[in-house]
Amino acid sequence: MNATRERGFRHPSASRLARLRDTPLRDLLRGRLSARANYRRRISAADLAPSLSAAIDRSVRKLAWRRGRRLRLADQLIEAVRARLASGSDPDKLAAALEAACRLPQHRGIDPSLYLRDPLPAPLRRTIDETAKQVRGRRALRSATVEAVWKRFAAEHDAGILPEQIVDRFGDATVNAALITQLFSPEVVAAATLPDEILQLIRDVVQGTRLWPREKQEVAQELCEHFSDGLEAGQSSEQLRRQFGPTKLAARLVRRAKIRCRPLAWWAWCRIGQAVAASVVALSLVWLWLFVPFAMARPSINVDHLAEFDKRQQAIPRSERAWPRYRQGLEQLAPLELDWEAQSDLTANDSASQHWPTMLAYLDASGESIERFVEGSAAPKLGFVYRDPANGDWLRKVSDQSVAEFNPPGTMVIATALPHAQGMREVAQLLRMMAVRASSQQDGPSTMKYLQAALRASQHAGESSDFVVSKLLGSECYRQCTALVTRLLQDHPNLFRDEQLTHLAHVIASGFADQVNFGFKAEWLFIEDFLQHTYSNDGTGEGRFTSDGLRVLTQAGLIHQQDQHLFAPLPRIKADRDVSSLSINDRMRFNLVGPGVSAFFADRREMREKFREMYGLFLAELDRPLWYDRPSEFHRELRRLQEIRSLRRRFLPVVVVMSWFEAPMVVDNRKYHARVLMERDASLVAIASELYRRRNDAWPTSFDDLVPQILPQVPIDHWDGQPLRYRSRDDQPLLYSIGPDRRDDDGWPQSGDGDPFDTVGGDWVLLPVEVD
Amino acid sequence: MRVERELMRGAGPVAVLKLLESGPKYGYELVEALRRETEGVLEMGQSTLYPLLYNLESQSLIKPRWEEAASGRKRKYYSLTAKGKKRLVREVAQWRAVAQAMIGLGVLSPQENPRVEVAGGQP
Repeated sequence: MNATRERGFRHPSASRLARLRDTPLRDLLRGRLSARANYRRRISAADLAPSLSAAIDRSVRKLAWRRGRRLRLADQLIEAVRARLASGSDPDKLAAALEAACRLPQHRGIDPSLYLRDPLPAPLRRTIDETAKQVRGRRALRSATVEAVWKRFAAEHDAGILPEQIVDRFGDATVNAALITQLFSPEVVAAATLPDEILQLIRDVVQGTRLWPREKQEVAQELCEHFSDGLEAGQSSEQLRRQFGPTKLAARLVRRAKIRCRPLAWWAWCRIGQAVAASVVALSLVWLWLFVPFAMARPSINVDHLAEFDKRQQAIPRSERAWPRYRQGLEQLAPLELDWEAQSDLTANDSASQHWPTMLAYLDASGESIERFVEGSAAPKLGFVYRDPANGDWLRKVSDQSVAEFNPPGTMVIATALPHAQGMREVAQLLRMMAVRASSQQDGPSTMKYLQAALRASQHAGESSDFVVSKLLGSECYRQCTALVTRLLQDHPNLFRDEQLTHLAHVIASGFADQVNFGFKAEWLFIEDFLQHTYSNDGTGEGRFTSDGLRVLTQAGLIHQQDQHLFAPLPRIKADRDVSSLSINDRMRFNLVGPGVSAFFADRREMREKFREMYGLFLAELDRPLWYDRPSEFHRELRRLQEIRSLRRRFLPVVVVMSWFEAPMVVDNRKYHARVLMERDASLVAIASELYRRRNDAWPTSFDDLVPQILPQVPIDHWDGQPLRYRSRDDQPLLYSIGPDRRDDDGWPQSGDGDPFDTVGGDWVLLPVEVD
Repeated sequence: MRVERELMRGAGPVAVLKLLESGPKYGYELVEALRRETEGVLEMGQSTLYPLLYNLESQSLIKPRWEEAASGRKRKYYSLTAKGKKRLVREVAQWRAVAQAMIGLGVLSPQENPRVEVAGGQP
């Protein structure tokens, strides 16, 4: 061996480094320098004629890419060449045959011994090449075609048949290639010697069967043999074609019959697939049947409840409206630089709060606004109009919105913005603070003026909307005022004159009268509004649930945490967004699940009736006194709707909306309401006691001393329905409620930080007021 | 004379089974035998024969087997299975009953076709 070039073959280097490079890692790890990873070393070691070595080298390089395959191919070719040389073949002819084979385009993967035979005549090679080129599919199929046809041609050529005859017997390359493509196998075609028209017929039948490749091969092979038999029997191609019959019919019948022959497992899968497909189709039809009305139905929004509210407010004469004055004062008011916590501290402790100096400075700076507030409080009604253009400047200041953007038509009642309610809270608080400041200066008339204004402003706050949230706000402002009155009488018993006290008592008693029964009467509006935003309406009160309705229902803000699971299959839509804000997946889920969910809902009329029933139960629940402990019908019915699946599906909107009514704020409303009433009564008892003291120079010892001379009636304890407990202790009047435990602890409160009104154990002492 | 398709649908399978009773046969052989034995009456196109064979195969009445012929070519021979033999017996009995009924009706006459005999006789 040498490393020089010999007629195109380059022997590999014998250097240690080259041998190291050609040694597999496995051998290296075993300490062997085998150099067996390079196929050229095997060719070189075979010691063949240079032309043969070069031809084998080129063939291997062209026919195989991976190292293992190259090594195997080199070994195969060397072995084949040695066999041919042993039988007396000429080395140069062998080399030429290899070179010729390598020039064929579809040669990879075929039997290498084919390369070493005498080269086929050019027409045969051309036919092989044309057939292989027209075979469609994987490269391996073309290689197999080359090999199969080559073997057939070689056998016929060796048998002494002329090349032209061989090509003629083989037939048209295109037809053969098409049949091979159909069968995924060249063997059947290569073996057949049929006229083109017969091959074409077979191809048409096989193609028409659309069977599995293996089945096609079998059918084609059988048909090839059948026609070969016919030709051998002396029939012509035309006769055979005629006898065969129509190819389309044959293909159809063959397909049907062959499919019957398929294995049981295939049939099982087939039936499962058919069942699944049928189910999908059936479900799709059902879904479509549900989806079309779901998507087509549109809610009929006929009533603009805010416009109705505005109409009522506009009926109030302008001179009797308080809001224009309040608005003027609010527009002039500078922001209070105290956080929410500090403001809460001020509300609870007023002059005792650490933030009181800041508040005093703020009050001094807000004189103009406060005077507008006092003027406004003198008006009989609040008279707030939502869409009043005059609100423009104030709205931009508080919410950066224009009047047109503020609660535009179509806004759901539940989503109504109430910035003026917050404004009224500020008004009432500032007026109350002014009363505190005046009382600290022993200025009785000013204290009376601001107290009265604060009480009136509280009433106006309750008129800021029809909804319970406004009523609660007004009540809280009022409660704070009455609590202040009670405390002022304790801290400054001589601040007011008798007639001022009497007047104050009348203001307190009459002012709150409008708000005593605030309990959710207007919330039916919310339900009506909900129905008109969620259901279509055919004009008679009938209608079906709409996709817009489902959007409303699935808005996260509306659904209570405890009911979230009821909407598990549906995507959440953010409040004030529509379905288009969802991702594509969520939108598909909404459209897929939505029709099914809403199909179970009751129609509009039935749903409204259910709402009315539940609303009635709810109002009855609110009217129950605290001491009247019977099971709640409202809660029982709501639980029933939530727990019984069929009812839940049918009345899901009722479950969702009435659960909102069940929110803690609402449930506690009865207790809160009782508290406001008892604190109001405490302030009235404090006034009456003070008047009694001034007249008799001693504190009253029981309600008998006050009722009916000073106090019209005995106030009741809302925890048990009995009169509030009143007696004299330590030469001071003692007024208390027995509290939620309904046990009289002789007027001693429970020690601890809890709210004494709601604390189990001890009594709730209303008079004297506890001083922090 | 060619028979109507409906009649052929009933007669074809039993004819093929009967031909296979004497031993395995390949497709072309069956075609030729049908033509020859029935004097062309039950001759059927290959487009009908091969699906018929596949149907019989799917019912396990016949079974195929590839064999190399003397010429070196491979042929697919069909032979009767045990089930196929039972079916043939049953079918033959039924056809005889039909033939008997036809004779009774005067549609057929034993003299018209010596190969048709009355019930209980051999075909």
